[in-house]
Amino acid sequence: MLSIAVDETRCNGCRRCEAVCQVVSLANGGLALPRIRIHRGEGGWRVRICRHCEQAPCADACVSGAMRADPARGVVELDASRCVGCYSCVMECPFGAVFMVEIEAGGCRAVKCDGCRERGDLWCARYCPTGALRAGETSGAVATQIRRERAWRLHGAQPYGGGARWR
Amino acid sequence: MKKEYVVIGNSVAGLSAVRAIRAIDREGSITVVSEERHLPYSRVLLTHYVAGKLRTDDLFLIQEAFYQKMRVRLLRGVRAVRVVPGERGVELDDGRWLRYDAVLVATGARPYFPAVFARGPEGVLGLRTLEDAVRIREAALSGSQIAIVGGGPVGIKLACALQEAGLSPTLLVSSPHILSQVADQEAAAIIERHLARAGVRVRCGVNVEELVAGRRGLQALMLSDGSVLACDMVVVCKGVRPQVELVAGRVRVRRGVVVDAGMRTSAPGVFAAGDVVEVRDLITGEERPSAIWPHAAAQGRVAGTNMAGGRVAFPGALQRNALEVLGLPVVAMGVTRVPADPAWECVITRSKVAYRKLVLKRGRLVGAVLVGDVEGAGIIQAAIRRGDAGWRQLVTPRAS
Repeated sequence: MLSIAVDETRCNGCRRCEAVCQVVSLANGGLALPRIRIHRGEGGWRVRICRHCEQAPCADACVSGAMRADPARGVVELDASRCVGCYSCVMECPFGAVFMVEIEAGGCRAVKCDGCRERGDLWCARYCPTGALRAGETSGAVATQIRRERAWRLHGAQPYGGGARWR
Repeated sequence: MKKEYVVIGNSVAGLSAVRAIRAIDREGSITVVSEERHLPYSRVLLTHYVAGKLRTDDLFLIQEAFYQKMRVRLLRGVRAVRVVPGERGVELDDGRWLRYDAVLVATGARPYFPAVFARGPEGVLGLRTLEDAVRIREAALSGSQIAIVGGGPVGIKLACALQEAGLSPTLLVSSPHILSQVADQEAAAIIERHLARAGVRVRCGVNVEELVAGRRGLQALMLSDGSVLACDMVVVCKGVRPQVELVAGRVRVRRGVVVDAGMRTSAPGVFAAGDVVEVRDLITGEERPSAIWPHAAAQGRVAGTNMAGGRVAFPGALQRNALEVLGLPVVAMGVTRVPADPAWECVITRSKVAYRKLVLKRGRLVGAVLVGDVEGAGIIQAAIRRGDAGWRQLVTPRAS
């Protein structure tokens, strides 16, 4: 199973990932919307994409059973047909990686990275020119980077081996 | 040796514990005692059912197959009468006795009824169970006049649901504004205006003094402002109280079952999780019940892991609510009302469509209220949890 590691300090804000994601989403029969978003924050770029947490706060909070974490496969999956648009996952995701999309008047559904589902590659990472997004196996160096970043975001432990690169 | 686990309660905390136990202990026997006959369903979705947006089948969280996959013995429609820590056993209402090595008390909470409603006639109910929701839905379809008491998230969601079902419900709130336990006054005013535009009547600062019953049940409510509100049904949404009877007198109980960070009660082998416990608040340090779904899920996992011999801790409660009010998203987290004290400050951004307030105590982010635009609310929650000064990045505008 491929997973994705994010190093925001390397992001240059080119937003190629957003464009690629949008195309892949459409090709997979989804909405023509990027499931990754790049924002400028204070002192750098913010890469908002699902990190597929093992103990996913979004799945913990999901009241409809739409959001499920499958640690064995290393993914957090969203079954949009079960989503009721309650915003619980939006409130929980420490990466700001769940987006709400209005699908009808007054009715919203959550949208997030699905790991390019059946497409065999993580296209945003493949097209990332700076290495801010890296794809790799769920074990090994990428996995270590993923765990560090999650730990920092959730508990304040330093990411990337102790350097205070996030300000 | 094969361990015996008993889980009392078949909702979020109980299920989360079962998963955690099985992730560690493949051999042990797990018995789940469920007072309700149904498979576990999402109580939060009950208002969606009342609105007619979901069918009962859509409410169930898991299927029967879950119990087979987890090799769980499920006892449905059976109530646990008492836990006897001295003998490591649980007595059931059908006379059976379950021995345990570790037991989880996840009995949840029940709606709180103020005294005036305590022995009410037909037509007074709470909204906690599927049966409650079915009764409310039936009443709504038959065109009943329904009043809702309580301006918290459940009351508001129910008012919205009834409005969507084609009724014009009345929400009676004793506080001066809605969401008085959850959000600040400005946010409440925005939501009240939104509700009023949609046709939901909100009356703040009124109490129900008396119920007027006729031969066919409830007829009207006498209110503290002297007015009379005609209605055939009143749904009381004044919060919930932990169901502690099962262990009262045998483990330490205050408002809820007292637990340590590992979700252990004062009796060895007895764990508790979910709406039944009281936990320490991350921000205020206060110990109180906090009946919210994400806490139940996290506490269940912590309890289950520790029951199976692991060592993990629940970091503490962070009070929070997400709410969708007829298309208007609302998120409130941590401390939302600021005391008149120079150590506290607010950073507020207002626009035509949104109100976003960050609450700071001595420069540290301790709470937030977001109305209309809740984008990235989880990033703010993470900053509250970390307690660092990184909150300033949160108020910088988004890239276009």
